[in-house]
Amino acid sequence: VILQGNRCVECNLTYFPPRAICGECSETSLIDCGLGTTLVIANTEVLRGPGVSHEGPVRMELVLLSNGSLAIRRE
Amino acid sequence: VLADAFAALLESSGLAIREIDGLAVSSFTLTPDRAIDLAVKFGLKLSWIMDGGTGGASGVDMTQHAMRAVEAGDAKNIAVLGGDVFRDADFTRLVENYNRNTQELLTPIGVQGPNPLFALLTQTQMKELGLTKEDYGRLVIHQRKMASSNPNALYREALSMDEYLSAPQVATPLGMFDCVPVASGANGVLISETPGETPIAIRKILVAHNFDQHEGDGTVTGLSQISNDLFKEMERDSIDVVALYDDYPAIVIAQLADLGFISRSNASDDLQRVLSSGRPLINSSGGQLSSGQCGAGAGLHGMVEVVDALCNTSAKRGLVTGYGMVAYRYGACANVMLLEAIK
Repeated sequence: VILQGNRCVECNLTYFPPRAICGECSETSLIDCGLGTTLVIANTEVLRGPGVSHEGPVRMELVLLSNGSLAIRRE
Repeated sequence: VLADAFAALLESSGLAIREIDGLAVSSFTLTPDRAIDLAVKFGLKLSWIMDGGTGGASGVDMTQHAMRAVEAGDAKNIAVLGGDVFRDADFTRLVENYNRNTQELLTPIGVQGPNPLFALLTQTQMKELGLTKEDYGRLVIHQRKMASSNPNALYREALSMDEYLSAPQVATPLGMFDCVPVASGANGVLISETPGETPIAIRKILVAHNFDQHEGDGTVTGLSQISNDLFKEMERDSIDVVALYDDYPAIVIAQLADLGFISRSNASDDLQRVLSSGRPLINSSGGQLSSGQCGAGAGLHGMVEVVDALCNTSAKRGLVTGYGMVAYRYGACANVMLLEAIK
């Protein structure tokens, strides 16, 4: 699964979630880039609210991306 | 509910409405109205106004601004309010559109609300600190015990470990009693240049928002960056009552560790020691896990809790934290305040 982050056109640093300004060089031109998953850190089975309705049990994972960022994905 | 909180504030302070010259408001569901619209509806003439936008951290943030405004002479009596009313699909609408990251990265994959995010955070914390489900249960059971004397709490009955462990699962490992109940309600405090019946001084306010650029796993909060400076103002051991933002037990434990009340190497034993000794007393009115989370009003829950304890018990020194605004995986905001009753 590839998640879409972004990459600074100046210093090539990548971000997930996407940033509006590069934290390294302050560049405002960042372009979309795909980031692969390298490791599942934790997972959860979501069964119900409270306060929200769910379509049914779904599994979510906390995953490590190729650039070192953490992301949430649906299993 | 904001009007009710404001009226209660006037009654308890003894101030007339014309004496309120500052207003700070935090609310998700007040929209499209803002603080000025509320001021018009309340009939207030103001020399200072603020819209708070940091949810669970807004109480401490607004108080920080209000305190400076009073010190600078911009206002004499500032009402700081927070609250929300959730009708029908209001809450679902809020959590599905909380911010752009939620709209673009979480809602489309079926993450509805913060429960799954904090379930993942709790699992990570359990591994890092060697905690069991029973450790979280002890905290929730303690807070439920504290709530027994709070007439405004949603949950007031005692909770056993068996009941806690057998509660319906929400998002593993979180059960029903690990997730703050959604509530409608409001909180309010007065920041004034004139001391009240029990004067309470704000000794210190420190803020650490987005301290880790949202690159951590969420088990450490911004408090970890500011606790050393905080306790230069007031010794940790001298604090009687502590209100820690408690949308989930894992966040209470993270803050206890960040503030040095428990260690990371022996978190389970340290937590049991703090809870059994009552030094300091944690979430003395039951916290949000017992009282419910009234949207942005939750940002003032801890402050009201500690002010109540300082005014009505022998407690003299209190600590209040704020936390929240889930930017993607966990709260991006953290702040803390030290209060002291002048008795």
